[in-house]
Amino acid sequence: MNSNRLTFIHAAGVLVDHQARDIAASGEEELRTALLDAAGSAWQQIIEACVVHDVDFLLLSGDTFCEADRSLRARAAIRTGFECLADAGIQVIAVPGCSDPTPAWQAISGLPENVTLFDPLVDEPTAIMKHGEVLASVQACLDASPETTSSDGWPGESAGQSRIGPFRVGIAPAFSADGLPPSQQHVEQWLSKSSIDYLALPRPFRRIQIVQPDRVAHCPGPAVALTGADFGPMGASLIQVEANNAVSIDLLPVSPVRRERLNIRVDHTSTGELLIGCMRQMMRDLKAIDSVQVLLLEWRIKGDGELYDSLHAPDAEAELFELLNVDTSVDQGRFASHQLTLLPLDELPETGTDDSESDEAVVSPILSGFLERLNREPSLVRSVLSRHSAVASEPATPWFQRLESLASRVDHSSVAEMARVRGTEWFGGESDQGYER
Amino acid sequence: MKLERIHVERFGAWQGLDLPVDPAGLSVFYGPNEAGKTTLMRFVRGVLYGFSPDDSGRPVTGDSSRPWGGSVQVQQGPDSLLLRRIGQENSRGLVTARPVDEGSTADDEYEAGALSAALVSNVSETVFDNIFTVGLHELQELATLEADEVAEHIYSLSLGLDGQQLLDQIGEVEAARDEILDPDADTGRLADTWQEVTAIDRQLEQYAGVRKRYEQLVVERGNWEDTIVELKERQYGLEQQFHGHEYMKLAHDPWCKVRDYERELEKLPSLPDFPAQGLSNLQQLQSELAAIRGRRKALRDEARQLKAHAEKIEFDPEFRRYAPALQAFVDQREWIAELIELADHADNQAEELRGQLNQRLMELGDEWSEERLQAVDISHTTGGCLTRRAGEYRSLDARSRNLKRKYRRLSVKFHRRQEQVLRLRQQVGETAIDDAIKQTREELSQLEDLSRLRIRETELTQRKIGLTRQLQRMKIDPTLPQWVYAVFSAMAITGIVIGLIGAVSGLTSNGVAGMAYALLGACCYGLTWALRKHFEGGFEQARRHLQSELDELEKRLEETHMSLAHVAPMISSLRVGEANQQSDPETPTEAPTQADSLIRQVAATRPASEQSEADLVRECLDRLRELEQMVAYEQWVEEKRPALIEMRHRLRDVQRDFGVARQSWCSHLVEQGLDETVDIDEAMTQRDVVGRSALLLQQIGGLEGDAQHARRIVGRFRKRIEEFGHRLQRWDDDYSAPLDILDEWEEELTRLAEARREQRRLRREARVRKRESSKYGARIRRLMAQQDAILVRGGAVSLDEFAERAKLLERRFELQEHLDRAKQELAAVASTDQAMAIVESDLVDYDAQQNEQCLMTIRQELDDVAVDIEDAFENLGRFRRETELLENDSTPARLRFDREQLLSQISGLAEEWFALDWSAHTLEDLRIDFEKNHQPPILSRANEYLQRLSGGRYHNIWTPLGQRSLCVDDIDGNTLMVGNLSSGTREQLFLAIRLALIEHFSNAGVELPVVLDDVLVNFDHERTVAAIEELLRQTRRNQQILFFTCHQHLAEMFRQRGVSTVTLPDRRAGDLLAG
Repeated sequence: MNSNRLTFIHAAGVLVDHQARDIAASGEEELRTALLDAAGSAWQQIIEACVVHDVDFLLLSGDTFCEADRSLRARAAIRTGFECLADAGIQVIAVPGCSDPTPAWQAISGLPENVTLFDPLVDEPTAIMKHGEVLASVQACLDASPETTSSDGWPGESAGQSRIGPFRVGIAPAFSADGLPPSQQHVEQWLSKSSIDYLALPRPFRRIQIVQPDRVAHCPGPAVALTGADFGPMGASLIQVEANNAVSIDLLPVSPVRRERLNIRVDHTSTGELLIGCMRQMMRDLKAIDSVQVLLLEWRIKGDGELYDSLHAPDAEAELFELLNVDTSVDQGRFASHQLTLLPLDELPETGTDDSESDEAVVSPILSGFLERLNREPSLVRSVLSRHSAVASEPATPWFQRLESLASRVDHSSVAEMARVRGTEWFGGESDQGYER
Repeated sequence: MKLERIHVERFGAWQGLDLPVDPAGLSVFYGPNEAGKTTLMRFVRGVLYGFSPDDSGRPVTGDSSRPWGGSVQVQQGPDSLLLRRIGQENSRGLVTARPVDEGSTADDEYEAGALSAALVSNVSETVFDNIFTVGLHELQELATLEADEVAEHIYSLSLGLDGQQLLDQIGEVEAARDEILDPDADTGRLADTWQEVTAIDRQLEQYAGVRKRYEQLVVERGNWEDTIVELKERQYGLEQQFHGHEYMKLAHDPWCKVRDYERELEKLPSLPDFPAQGLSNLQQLQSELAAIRGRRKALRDEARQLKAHAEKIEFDPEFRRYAPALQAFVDQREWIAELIELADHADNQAEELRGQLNQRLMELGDEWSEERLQAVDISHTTGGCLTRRAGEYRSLDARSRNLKRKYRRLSVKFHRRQEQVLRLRQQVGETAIDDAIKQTREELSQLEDLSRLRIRETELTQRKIGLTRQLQRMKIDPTLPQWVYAVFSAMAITGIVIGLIGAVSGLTSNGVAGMAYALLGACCYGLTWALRKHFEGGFEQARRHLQSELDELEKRLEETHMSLAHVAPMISSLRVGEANQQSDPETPTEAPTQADSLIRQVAATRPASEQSEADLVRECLDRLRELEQMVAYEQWVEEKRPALIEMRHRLRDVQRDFGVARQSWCSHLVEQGLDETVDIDEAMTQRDVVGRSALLLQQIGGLEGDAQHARRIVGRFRKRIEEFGHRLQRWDDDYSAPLDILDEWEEELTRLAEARREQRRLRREARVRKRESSKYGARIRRLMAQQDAILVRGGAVSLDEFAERAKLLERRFELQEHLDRAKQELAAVASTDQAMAIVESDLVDYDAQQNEQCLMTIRQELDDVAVDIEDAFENLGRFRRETELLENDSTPARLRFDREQLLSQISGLAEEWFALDWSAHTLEDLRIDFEKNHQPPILSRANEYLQRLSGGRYHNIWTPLGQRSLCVDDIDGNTLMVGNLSSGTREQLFLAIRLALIEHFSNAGVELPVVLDDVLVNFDHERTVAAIEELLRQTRRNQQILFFTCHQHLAEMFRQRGVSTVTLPDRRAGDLLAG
């Protein structure tokens, strides 16, 4: 590694001009307008951050755009951003991902010369130059033995020794050898076996950082909170490598959208005022981020009691959020969209053995059987599909194919939870458990 | 009840038919087709339940004037009864009964409608018809098992609450699932959303061509940018060429001039010392001298005239003395005018604002005045403080109301339940609740005993009456008619006579014949004695038997009366107690339970006089339920009491806080000078009005102050003007209008200034003229000296000679000047393009016409290139605009946004669908399990019968949950619906179910004969044997069975198993043949 300090920004999953999903109030025009250009805005902020921090290069570790979108705006924004970085003398290492494969990158005409497209599956290790000096090297990090990975043109060293060559950046592929997304064990294996200083992880990793002696693996996570699973501050990472090899990683929040899932527990003693106060306090406790323009808050209220029951009324949700929005200081000037999810208590009444206990304590044998079967199922979705495939005719019906494709998009745990809640609703009431003929 | 004999007086094809029936076993009746087997079956049912109108339409025999009718002799316990029914119009016949004993006659018959119902144990006709009397038709039809009363035993009782809930939920889940998606019908919300996504995809697909177009545009844009660069380079080259030719054209003329001027200069003489401009100077000097001399004279005259004019101008000395001060006053005129205007304006504004203030004061009320307004503090600090107090006050108010509402709700519920408990406690008295429950249960038990004893008493009384009548009949009515005794006597006498004849003849003539006669006589007598002994002995034995049975009955009746006597007082006391307890209308009632239905059943079996015991049982059960509920309420009350107390304390605290806040709020209002009110909005509104009024008051004060100040200044100013007027000795002027005075003074000052200026000017002019005239003398002398010096330097003595030499010199200067100018021109041309170099030979060979032609050509080319560049820029601009339009088109992004939201919805719906589909299948599995574990006991019992009847082929009968259909599992694991079974198997299934039902009724105390009409005709040999064995097994369980058949082999099969077969008599002969 050079004695000079090295700075770069690492971003993954920017998905320029890709559109957000799981928006509860997508009909509101103000929210819609704010969300339409969320990913583009995040991309602009990344470019501006590169210039402001005077970084040496920008590393895009996959899914910079979504080729399936066929978005012209994305191409134009990417080209413009790269030209801006070219004017500032900043190099760009663009790694194709699942959404932006190599042909898609190659189809973008007029990319400036500061952009290096690095496909970890085919490209040889490459050097990042600045003013005729090698700043860093980029190499693929595949499922290879330590011997092969160390023969990258630089002498290999074991962990703990000081390096002689430039800072080495490894690129992890989006899929491991078994065709599945790489696990943390994969990453740790790559990190320990490869002679690299920094391993850039792509999506579908969330924001993660795995540190080993003298080396670190990092994924900045999605740059924009586009899906319902992207909670918390989102953005890119500013990587600063000191002369003594110390690597510091800081979050650069660039996402204009912030999603938060806020859990509240209510009981028989809870009141509407307490609930509103609690919600306001939770909103105030959210750390303010300048880049955030839209707050998408999912309130998950769990419990029982009068207040919980009253929230099931048709207009209760609207009234609750109307009351919450009376205090405009809580959203800190951002557009806030709220969504309410009501969850019953997990605890089921135990099977009554004492005759003196009330009827409410008796669990329906139907419910017991239902939950027993539910607990036995590893995946309800797979079970449904396998059952349908067993009785389906050949060729498969269009809906069966569609449902199979949907199986990869749905949250299997949510399906199980939904079935559990429904089952409890259906059979959680009165029972004639003692009924025997 | 068991049948002992069937006697048909007249019914259908039968008349005078008398059939004995084995009461303890199986009776097989054989007869050919149309022998009247089915008629007999209908007859038995008709006697028990009444003749149906259909029976009258059947073929009849015998005397049509005689009514329908007949009797059956039945055994009920130890007694035998003759139940007789005679057909009547518009009714089901008159039923009578009488005991079967020796003494009973037709006169002993009594109407026995209730008795006949008791004999069939209140089993309805439908049940009897479908279960106990079965023909081949009934056995082949499932519908005969689906009558409500029958099906109730087979199907509906299997559900229970959980089963019904499961069954209902399956339907609801499937409906909910199909509402989201029905894959087969391609309907549902998921399908609709999917179609919306498809529609958006189609719209997005249209943008695929746009992307190609965009790439083309980008390429085209690059091409045009390259074209522009090329054109600009070409334009630059042409411009360079054009510039060269232009340069040549410009440089050629100056170069020619320089060359000509240099040649002429070489020809002129050189005069280096000749004074430059000498000739003109001389001429100028001479003319100047003449002019100066005339001028000096004119100046002297002018100076004298001016001095005279200046002396004529005069001024007012006092006005001139105070002119600076007066000017100072005049300079302040605009300011004073503004002050006057300002004062007037302020007065107007103040007047207007005061009107508004008065209106606001009227709005605030009579107690509000300007002084009070001034006293109110309307600063932001107090405003913020008031708002904060209002917030606290409002918050506490809301909290107090909320808590009060909750407390009221809980309190009402608490007190309602407490009142219910207290009311029940009052009813119970001082007895402990557990004791009361125990006591009520004991009472219930006693009531049940009483009911049981009542039933027993009724039954024993009935039987006693029957036996008594039977015994009476036996006493009165001899068993055998008199002619029988006559026959017996004749036979005995004949036997004695023949025996005597035999003895005489044996002793006298022939011993053998005598012995034969004697033996014949002995036989006759013996037979007669035996017959008499037989009939009379049976009659006596029966009477003794009846007597002993009657004794036994009386003994049991006595015991029953004693038991009743023991129980009745307790029940009476209970009735009294119950009567004292008025049922509480507010006591919550619950849904009828199984106990209620039991009570109803018990009550239904009792005559009206015994309904009170049933009511008592119901009341006891109600009371028991109320007591148990009271225990639950008491527990609830005890659990909720601390919560209620705690809530009351909290409410009191909150109300106290609220009172403090209200007091603080009111005192704060008073402190701020506002009216005291508890209405926050009213207070805030008043404060707002007061604040605005106070501001108005402040504005009025400010305006009035400004006006006064301005007027003071104007007054002082007017006083000073008046003083100065008096100094100027102008006593008659009007100083109340200072501005008019100032205007007058300003005019006078202007006039004074103008006069003084004019005087000074005239004097100055005079002095100037004088000085100038004195200067002209010296100048004339100087000019003369200059003239002489010039002539000397030009080498001339006269002015003419000097003029000749001056012309030559002038020409030389002119040429030199032209030459310099030409050289400058040439240098200027050269300096325009320093990079341009020209060779002199080119200038020599320069052809202007040719050069002009070249310039024209290049200009033309340049114009063409400029047009091309303009076109190129236009095209570039067009492509840029188009690409920008495409880049900035947000429609695809909006479509993709909508698509993503729809996909989110689809994911949500898919999750719901997967959950519901899994739930639906799981509930279906649960339903199957439930079916297995909750089949009706009738079917479980029928399983065993079917297994035996089918030789083990079929082992399980079950009914799907909530349906009225039957399924059968065979040994191969196949499940078959009833419709899929062979006719023989189906008959075996229905026979098995009926046998199970009969067993069920038998276990419930219902003892009725079973009448089967050729039900085995479709069975194969093996299963027929199994069925006969099963029927025999039934008879061993003390079940009476009447089996009718028209098949000889069946009768034979029964006969082989020791069952006697009765061959039905020929209807015409009416005889009875026993097989």
